[in-house]
Amino acid sequence: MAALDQISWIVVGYAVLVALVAGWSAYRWRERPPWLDSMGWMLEALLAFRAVAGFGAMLAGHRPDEVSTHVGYLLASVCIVPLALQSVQDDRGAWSIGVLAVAAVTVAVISVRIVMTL
Amino acid sequence: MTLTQQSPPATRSGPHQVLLVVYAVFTLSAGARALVQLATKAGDAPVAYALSLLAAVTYALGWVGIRRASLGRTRFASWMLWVELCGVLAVGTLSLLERGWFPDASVWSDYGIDYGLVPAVLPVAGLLWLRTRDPARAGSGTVVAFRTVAFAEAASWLGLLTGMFFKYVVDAGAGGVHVFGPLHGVVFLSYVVIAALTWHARRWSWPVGLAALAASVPPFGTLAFEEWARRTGRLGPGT
Repeated sequence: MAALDQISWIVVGYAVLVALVAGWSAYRWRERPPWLDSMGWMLEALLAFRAVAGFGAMLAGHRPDEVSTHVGYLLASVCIVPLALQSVQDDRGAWSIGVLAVAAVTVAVISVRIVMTL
Repeated sequence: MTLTQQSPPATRSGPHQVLLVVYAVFTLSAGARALVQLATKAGDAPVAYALSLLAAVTYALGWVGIRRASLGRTRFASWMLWVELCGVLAVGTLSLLERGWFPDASVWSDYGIDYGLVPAVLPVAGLLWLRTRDPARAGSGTVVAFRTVAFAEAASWLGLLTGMFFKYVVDAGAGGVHVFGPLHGVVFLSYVVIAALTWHARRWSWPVGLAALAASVPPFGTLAFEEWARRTGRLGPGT
């Protein structure tokens, strides 16, 4: 499942990038810039693509090592970023950047776990 | 009317937002992990899995408490965060001393090493935030926390060095290293976080801030830095 691994590592890299950019924005202590939300949605698109590819591979007959855990991680990975963005929707304060940073770190960790349970 | 429609309460934006999202993530991950393990292989390590479920419940209640505290009612959060801190320390110590009770890891095993020791730092961060909610204590909290954690860092170094002495010099087993290794890791991470907060709160310059972080690397460096910072007025009132 080399292709799935590759997508997952790209997701990890991009999620870390989002977390670093969010950390930098939080350090500058301004309002949350709109393009940070866009980066979050792009991360979400990657995660959704990864989840669809993962479920597709499972439908095509590939059995992950730990099926229930793997499915749990795939589902959780697509929920976190929208929930985080939703929770700070009408609040552009600097602390809301921290919420996105935590969400990005979380999906990075989950993506690593997805590879480990594949 | 056009300028201000109902302004949101002042406490809406703040550090609690970050705490809340971390608590939500930990409630979900600990809960899902415990439920899957209890459902599929409860017999392997029943104590560890039950403790994981307990950790998930604690995180859920902690989330509720922090939410209430952000609206001004700090009592419940104060209780829950202390319960959580005692839980992490108790389960972490137990998992290091009684390996046989934990054939499989629990969320709080080794002070939460599977989760980057975040479980041990989280209640401390929550309690520090709660202090800022209390107007009588606001302001002094960071410096007190910094001095406490600087001392604790040096103390954990002493424990670790003692453990290494018994392991490598006397050859009397690695028990001390097993206990003080993760403990030192927790205190080290707490020190880095609190040093960064103090840096921000006391408006230290870049060299001073970096020196504070670097002091955590050599044994007893934090005590030396704390002593120096106190003497040069960098921890005192004013700046």
